[in-house]
Order: sequence, then C-alpha cells, then structure tokens
Amino acid sequence: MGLLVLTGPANPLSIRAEGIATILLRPHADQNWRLFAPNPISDERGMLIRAWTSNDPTPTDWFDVTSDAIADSKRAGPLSPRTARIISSGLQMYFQPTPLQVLAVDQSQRRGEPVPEDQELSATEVEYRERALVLLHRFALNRATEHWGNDVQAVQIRLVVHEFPPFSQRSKWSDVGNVSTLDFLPRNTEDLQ
Amino acid sequence: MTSALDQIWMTPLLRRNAAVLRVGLGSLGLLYYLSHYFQRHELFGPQAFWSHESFIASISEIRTFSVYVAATDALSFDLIYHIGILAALSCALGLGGRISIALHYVMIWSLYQRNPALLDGGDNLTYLLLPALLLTKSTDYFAVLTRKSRGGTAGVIIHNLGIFLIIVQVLSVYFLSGIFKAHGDLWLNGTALYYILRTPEFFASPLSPYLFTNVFVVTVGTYAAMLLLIFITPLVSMKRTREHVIILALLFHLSIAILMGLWGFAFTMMLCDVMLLPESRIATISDAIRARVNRGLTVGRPADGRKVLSDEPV
Repeated sequence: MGLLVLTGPANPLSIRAEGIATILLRPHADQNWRLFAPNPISDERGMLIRAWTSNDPTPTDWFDVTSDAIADSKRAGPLSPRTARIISSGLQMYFQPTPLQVLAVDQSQRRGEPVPEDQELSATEVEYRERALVLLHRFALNRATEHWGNDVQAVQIRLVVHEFPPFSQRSKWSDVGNVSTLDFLPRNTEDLQ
Repeated sequence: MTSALDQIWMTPLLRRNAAVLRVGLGSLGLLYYLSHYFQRHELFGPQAFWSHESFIASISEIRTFSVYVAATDALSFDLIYHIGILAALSCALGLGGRISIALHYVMIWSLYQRNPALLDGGDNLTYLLLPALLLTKSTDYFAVLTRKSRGGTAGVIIHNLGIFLIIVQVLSVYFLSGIFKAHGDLWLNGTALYYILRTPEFFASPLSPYLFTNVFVVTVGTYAAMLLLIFITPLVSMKRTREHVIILALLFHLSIAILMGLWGFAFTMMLCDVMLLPESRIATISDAIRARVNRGLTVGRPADGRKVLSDEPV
C-alpha cells in the first residue's frame, strides 16, 4: 500500500510524504510507471541538423537525423541500438515542465483562468536544460561528421514538432498537420568536445 | 497438515520462477550490451553524447555510484564494458551464484547511469528486481552448475521474502501503469492506441495503418490494455482465472515487442508474467523441453550408443 501511495498519482499523502519517498526510494528504487500516461504523445518530435565546414562559409542543407536514427533502431529487431532515444530523451529533458510550471497550470485550470506563460526558471532548471542541449548538440556533431566529413566547424539544431491528424481524421493519417520549429544558435565543434 | 502460513518458513516458493527471472534478466542485460556494442564509445564512453561532466554531476546530485567514473580513456572504458558483458552472461548462466547477480546489478546500474537518456520502463524494472532476486534461491534451477542452496529455515524465509518483494513490485507496476492511464482522456475515450501506433518510433510499416485506422481495433485495443493492467492483480489471485490472464498478458507484451519494437521492455514484462505462473507449470514446461532435447540427441543412435553412419542400417 505504501508503494502505491508513494509512486502513484499525486495525492495528499504522497505530497506530505515526499521527503520520506526521497529517502526510501530514490535513486535505487525510483520508479515511474507513467507509460504512455496519462496520455500518449500526439505529435512527432524530431531534430534536423546543419553544419558549417571549414571550406564553406554557407551552411549545409538541413538533414533529418531523427528519421535516420529511427530506421536504424528497427533494422536489427531485438539487437537494434536505442540511439534514436537520444533525441526523444533530449527533447523531453529540455521541454520537461518544471514543478512550478506544473503547479501554475494546475491552479489556473482549477480556477478556469488562462494558462500562464513560462515561469522564470531556477538556476538548477537552467542547468538541466543546458545538459539536454549539450546532449543533443554532441549527437548532432557526431551525425554531422558522418554526413559531411571531419572538417565540420559548427553545428546547428532545429527542433521540429509535427501535430499529426487526430483520430477523427485517421483516413488522412499521412497528411501533414501543424508544424512548429525551434532553432538554436550554432555551436562550435571545439565547445562540444 | 501444514498451513499456508507454515509454508513461509518451511518451503522455498517459486524457485523455478526465480530461476527463469535470473536467466531472463541476465540475458536482457547481455542484449543491452551487445545491441550497443558497435556504438558503445559514442553512447557510454569518455567522449559520449551524455558528456562526462553531465554524467558526474547527475550521479552526484542523485547520490549514487557508477563504475564508469573510472572510465577516463578508451582502454579503461572497454575493460569495464567487457566486465559488464561477462557479469551479465554469468548471471544468465547461474555461474557464481548470488555473486554473479550482484556483480551484474552493479555493472548494469553503472551503465544505466552513464547514459540515462537511453532508459525505458524495462530498465527501471530490471534495477528494481535484481536486488530482490539476490535474496532468492534463483540458482537452484536452470543454472550451468546447479547446486541446491542450503541455509535452513533462515534461508527459506529470506528466499520467500525475495519472492514476495518481486511479486509485489510486478503487481504494482501493472496496477500503477493502469491507474495512470485512467487519468488520460485519450485512454478514456478509447483512441490512445491510434496516437501510439502513429508515432514514427512505434510505426510498424505496413501493418500499423490497417490497425490504427480501424475503429474496432483502436477502441477495443485501448480499453483492453487499460483494463488488463488495472484488473490483472485480482484476476491473478484467483486460481480459476490466473493462467488465462497470464496468457493474455504474455500475448499483450509480445504484441508490444512486434508492433512497437520495444523488445527489451516487452521481454522484461514477459519475465514478470512468468513470475506469476504456478511453479508446477514451469516444471511441466521445462521437463517437456528437456525430454524433447534428450529425444533429439538420442534419435539415430542404437541402444548401445554407437554412432550411425549414413549408409549403415539402424
């Protein structure tokens, strides 16, 4: 019963017992069973990369590293590497709502108010986002080197979110829905090594 | 007559089940090492995507350990990685008893911490179950050097405690994952399966479009998954429904492996399903396999055991 209270959906007891849960469970018995829950993601999230090489001041075309990685992850069945998860985990780490944001959204919804803009991030939360970006940029550099050769001087990543058609439009499942992008500033190779 | 309660300190329960779990967790660990073998430096090495600085900072923040702290160059990394492979293999084979299980836990936990971006629910379950497995007599069966462990009454109680912890953890996973889904409107309105199978990572061409565009498949599949997870605990506790629901669960997880490509997670959950089977069922299956193997080895051999050449009458 204690395990269910401490690791289940938030409830008055689990909020009070947060300190005890941390001592008892984390990190070696930490568990998260929100598997495709409360809702599975209803969009495609991926990453494009482009690079600057030493011979050319103009950047290369954008290259879709996500589709490439997903294809790799299916090639060998059970023996396939999970490299594609670098991208999805990195995106999740970067966009993960902070506790303040979750609380603010929850309180606004209860009061029927508009959801507030992003709350100011703490120093720790800024650091977590930076780690996610370093992860994604180091991956991007590796793929850029494979694709364009060893003289890559800088890489840039573009995060892409594609909202695919909802269930009511399932007959047009392959149509392109709303696409949002987020570009980050290029990072030099020597800063990533 | 021995009461059910007396069994707790007189009879080690579900030893074959624990042995299957040991073989499975060791094998899945080996699969994790081998499936990333050719990318091991990029994923886990000193110059990995998850930088060494991020790695050290994160294990320091959550106050844990990883032997990969010592992997400061390619050679030391490769040494540690290959020790991990041997530890996983030893655990699967039952070589070295509880020591091999403990070593496998230390090495696989360390690898998980070196790149937490790769982890899934199956890995979460692995690091929860391995310490509990240490308490059990899991090398009494299905081990290369099977040796019935001793320990008297204390040994039996510790073994049964380990079994209890494993079963409680497995049933908690089912119930919690079901309850979390019940909070989601896509699960409640019966459309979640469409969104899962539509995602490129879980898209199995050309089968997936036929499944996720079919109203019946999506709705029944969504509700069946959620209800199975929530109600498996009471159904498993009743003798009449136990094996039927375990077969359903095995098929459910096999479909996850085939349709979604989540092989590691699916096989881990299938090992958990086997933990819930009566031990007699596992004994029957292992005896049948052993008989089949023995029959195969003796076909074509005369009763005196000499080999039969191709043109020699039997």
